[in-house]
Amino acid sequence: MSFVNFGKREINFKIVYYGPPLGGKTTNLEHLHSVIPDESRGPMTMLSTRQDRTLFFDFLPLQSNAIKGFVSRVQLYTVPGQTIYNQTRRLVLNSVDGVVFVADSQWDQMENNVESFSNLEENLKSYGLALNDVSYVLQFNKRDLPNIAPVHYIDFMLNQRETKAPGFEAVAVDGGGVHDTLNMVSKMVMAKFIEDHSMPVNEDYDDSRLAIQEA
Amino acid sequence: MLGYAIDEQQCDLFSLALTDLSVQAEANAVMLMDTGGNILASICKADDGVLSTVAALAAASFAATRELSTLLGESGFNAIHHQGDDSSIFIQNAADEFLMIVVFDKNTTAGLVRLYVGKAIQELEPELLRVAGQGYQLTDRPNAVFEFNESSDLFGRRVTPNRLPDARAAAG
Repeated sequence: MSFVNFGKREINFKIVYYGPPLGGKTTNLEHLHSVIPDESRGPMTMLSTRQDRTLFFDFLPLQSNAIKGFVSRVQLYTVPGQTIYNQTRRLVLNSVDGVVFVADSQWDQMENNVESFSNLEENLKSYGLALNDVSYVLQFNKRDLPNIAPVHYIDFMLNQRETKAPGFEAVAVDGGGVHDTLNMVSKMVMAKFIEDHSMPVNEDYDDSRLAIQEA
Repeated sequence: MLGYAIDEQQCDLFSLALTDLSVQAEANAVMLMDTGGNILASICKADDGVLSTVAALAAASFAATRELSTLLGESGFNAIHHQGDDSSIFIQNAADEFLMIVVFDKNTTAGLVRLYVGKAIQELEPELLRVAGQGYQLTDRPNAVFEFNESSDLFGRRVTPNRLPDARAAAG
């Protein structure tokens, strides 16, 4: 749920990386943290178990001047993939604007992918949302491994909808496809915001204090 | 899915109330945010990235506590107090959708903080309820036109990747 602060000229968006356990959600954020310049990101926070498995969420705040006259603050979260942490997965989805579903491309993970995708839809439903209410993209991760399913197969399993979500092949551990995935989901989230909330310009409106300044 | 907005006057009103609260309660930092972790106003010297992280963690802490209260059959825990040796954090729910967070040290007491937070929330509650109920109200702001800047890469990219010292350190 986007939030606009006209006083501070800020718009906040929330994007959640969702997917099966050990699929590469945290690795996506780690790579983004390593390549995005300091001035565009805050510190990365990881709430993990001693075994480095996500316990609650990972968090990486980013900022961009993508929307004219405003600072766009994009908050990236991951969810814990393990089945037992469904309650925390559901909490992290609260007020979400965009979702990156990180699918594990290995053949033996197809069942987990489908189960996690179905879990995503269920948890969104608990907030009165359908998948089509949020912007989402698919990421086919671990394309460097042997024994992986073809992209069109995973796409067939997860992307059978009227409006197909964009998909990206990725090797998150090397950063391949990670930045492109983020850019796409961010643009989709912002485009939806602009589409939903822009009003036609009224030439007679003369309160210059409220007018948007060019960046 | 629609979000919500606050205007300049509301932003000023919240900032003023937080300034008063920080002085009265002798707090080190005060923040007003929604339960999703979005910051409405803050009185704090930390940079924006750190503030966002504090807000996200506080929102998560409150959400987890609220779930615990449900499991115990309670209608909801209204406030949380994390007590440290030197610094402590007090979080209180306001108008159901918002949280007031106060960071304080040994120069003040939890009782005093709680008292002034309660007063501040009482004063701000009508405005917070208005914010929660009003949505964007862009019909009142005909010149609020949102447009994309021309850029294919929204966040930029380093030439040489940083090797994550703070991320790993945070993971413990």
